[in-house]
Amino acid sequence: MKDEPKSQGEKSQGDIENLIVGHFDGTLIEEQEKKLADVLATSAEAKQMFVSYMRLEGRLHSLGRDGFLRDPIAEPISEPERPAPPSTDTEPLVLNGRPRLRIFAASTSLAVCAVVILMLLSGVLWPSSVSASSVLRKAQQAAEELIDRTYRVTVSGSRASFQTQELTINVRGGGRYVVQPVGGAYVMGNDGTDFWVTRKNGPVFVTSDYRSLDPELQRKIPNKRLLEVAASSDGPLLMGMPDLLSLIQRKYDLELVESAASKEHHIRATVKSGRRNGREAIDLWSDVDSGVPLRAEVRWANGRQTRFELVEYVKLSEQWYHYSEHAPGRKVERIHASIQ
Amino acid sequence: MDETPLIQQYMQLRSEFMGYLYAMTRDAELAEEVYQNAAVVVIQKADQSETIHNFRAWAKEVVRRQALHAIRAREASAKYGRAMAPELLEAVSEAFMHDTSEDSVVRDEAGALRKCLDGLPEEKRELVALRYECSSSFDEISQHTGSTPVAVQRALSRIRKLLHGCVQRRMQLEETAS
Repeated sequence: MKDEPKSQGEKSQGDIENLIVGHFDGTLIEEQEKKLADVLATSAEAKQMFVSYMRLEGRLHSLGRDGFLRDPIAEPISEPERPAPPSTDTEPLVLNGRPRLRIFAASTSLAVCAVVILMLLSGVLWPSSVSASSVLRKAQQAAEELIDRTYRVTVSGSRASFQTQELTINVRGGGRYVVQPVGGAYVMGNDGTDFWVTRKNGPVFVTSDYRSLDPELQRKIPNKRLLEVAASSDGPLLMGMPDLLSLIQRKYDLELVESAASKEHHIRATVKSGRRNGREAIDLWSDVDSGVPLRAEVRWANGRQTRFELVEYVKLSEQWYHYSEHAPGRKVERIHASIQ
Repeated sequence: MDETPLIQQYMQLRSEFMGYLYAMTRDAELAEEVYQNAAVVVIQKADQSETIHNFRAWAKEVVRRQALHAIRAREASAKYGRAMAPELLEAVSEAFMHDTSEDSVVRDEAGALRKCLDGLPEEKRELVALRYECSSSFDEISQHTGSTPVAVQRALSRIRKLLHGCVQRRMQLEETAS
């Protein structure tokens, strides 16, 4: 980045703006960084400009993370712009922030991938107009059967610092599931009626509005790198479920892939070509006869990968999907979904 | 005192915190990690009975400490290039910690930005999406667009300035109107 040879005091607003933008681009050399530091330390105006650029940068990252930078979205309303809920109604806010889980962040791409996977596994959703429709329908039917399946989930990243994480998910049709990370820091699930989440020795948060709540709940899945999806205060993820599903339909191409194993069907959902830099895809293998999803892999452009693998069928009690099985005697806080 | 659960208050400040974290790390993924680490601290705090009178200020301090910790860890790994000038790290933190912008301003900026984004020509919007959706580098974007990394960086700089100017103008208009 070029910087005019002016003294610090003579720096024009344009020069300062160039330094600020250069900082966020990562193009400043050390000397320019020191100049920017000087300006920030001595000019309230520069500091104000920097802070507003900082917020702009944060919002762009949040909107990008949530996949809402391309098409004008149907007026997503950010959290702060919504009418404040009644002061007595704080419960949704608790769930909104997924109080006991370290599962925020992630991109909407991630959220969408994760939501797709969860829905595939739990039978909540199969897009109705896909090229591999017969396989999908079969898998959907299988997922709806009241058979308990246990999946091992592994989340890995491309960065050396990324710690691979493992979780176990029990799934039964009708939207029932229980998710637990190895180590048991938290447990979350859905008994077909209520979504619930609890952390070790903490209270249980419960809501009955899972499907209508909005994408907050889609972010309530297990791992921060999985379904997480935290509530973005910038709002796009506060869209309703139909909008989210529409997003999935718009962003993914579904295809049937020839599988090397004759007993398996292989389906791939790929982010629509030309829509994104880098590839994001979901591969799902299902049993030819039963349609049961056997394993799935979600890949993100940054190299992160999540793998679902069917471990076993073990009959579980109906009670297994209820929080009382996992948090006996704990305080229960019911959360009402009033933020739609 | 705000009765909103702490974690919810924290989430509402996401953009502000992420902006700071990106300014400190210039690494979207690391910024996200730090944001989450700080969220864990907030969650743990929620389990305690201690009262927080100024959540925003408290959370900022949490985020700042987590950021510095992450930056030190990254530097120790010696896998990254030149570290940011310490003076700038300090100045950025200082600006962040002492920013007293009102919530209404922050909120209005968010709305203004959306409108400004909607007004961007398609190709500019695409460039912004390429940059921020996957935290793509200028090199990666240039491969996608058939341009050069320098051209991409300059184009994005211009767009960022455009957006910033647009947001500021809209804010002024609204202020005048009210």
